[in-house]
Amino acid sequence: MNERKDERWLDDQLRRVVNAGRPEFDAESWKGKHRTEYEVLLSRRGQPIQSGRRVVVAWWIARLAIAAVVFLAVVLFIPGSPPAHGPERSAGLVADSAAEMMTMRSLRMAYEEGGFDGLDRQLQNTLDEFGPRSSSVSLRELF
Amino acid sequence: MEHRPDRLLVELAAQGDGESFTELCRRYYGPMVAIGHAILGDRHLAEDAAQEAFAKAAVHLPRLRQSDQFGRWVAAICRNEARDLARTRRQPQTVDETATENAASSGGDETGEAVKAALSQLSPEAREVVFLRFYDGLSYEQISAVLGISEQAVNGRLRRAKKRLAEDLRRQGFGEVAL
Repeated sequence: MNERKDERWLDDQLRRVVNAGRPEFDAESWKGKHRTEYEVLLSRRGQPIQSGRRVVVAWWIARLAIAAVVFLAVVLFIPGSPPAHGPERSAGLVADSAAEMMTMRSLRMAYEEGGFDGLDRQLQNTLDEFGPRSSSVSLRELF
Repeated sequence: MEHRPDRLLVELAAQGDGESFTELCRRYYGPMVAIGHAILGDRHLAEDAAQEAFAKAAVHLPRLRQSDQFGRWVAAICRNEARDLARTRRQPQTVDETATENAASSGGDETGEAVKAALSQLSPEAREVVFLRFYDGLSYEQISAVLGISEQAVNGRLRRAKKRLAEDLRRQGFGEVAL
């Protein structure tokens, strides 16, 4: 007998010995038998989002906070002079100025347009446009 | 519902969606029974262990941090349940009568007994992968999801287990089995 045939023989034997028929999950019987546990699961309906997602949301809030701090730093500490040319607008901007970019309305618009990715783009655009390269950006441009 | 990925079902179930949880149970019942059977050596006890594992999973689901790792997570719970059951019932860890009845009814007998004895000699990990593969014909991909190892690692583990079985069977007088 060659190795291949041996392997097939062994597989057949294992199938015969191990295979005891496909087990089927009887949901109703399980729910009846484990009523308490199932009710614990059902009782979470309508509760706030779970811990893993909470971390993601917290991470986004942290990003928003950082972006807001950068923005305030730009607005408050960097004196501006009128530019020779206006700042180039990036594609996908939903607001006209940095201040407007950071309003709840524009953030919501960005979120509605592209979800978290849209929001991220909006923040990134704000940072790109009004981030720390500053001396060429005036208060007038910002507002 | 059947085509939804585990990750989504887990997230919905964690928010109290019973149907999503039931679908997860349906999806993983076979592998859990196979794992329980490899440890307990009894089909009915294995089903009990699998069902207890799902009950624990229902309660502790919010603790699962990686929602795409449900199979691996519930397999770990099932292993613990099966070991607890084995301890309380002092059940020897062998392949059971239910399974070997199949061998006998199909003319198995001596060969079936020999294979059964050889299976009992395998390490728990090796026996588990053999059961997952041959209990319900799970694919490498499905086994990999349950064990949390790569398909290559599943293949390696299965190969080593079969080699060991072949050696054992040779020792028992099945001289032609060579892998």
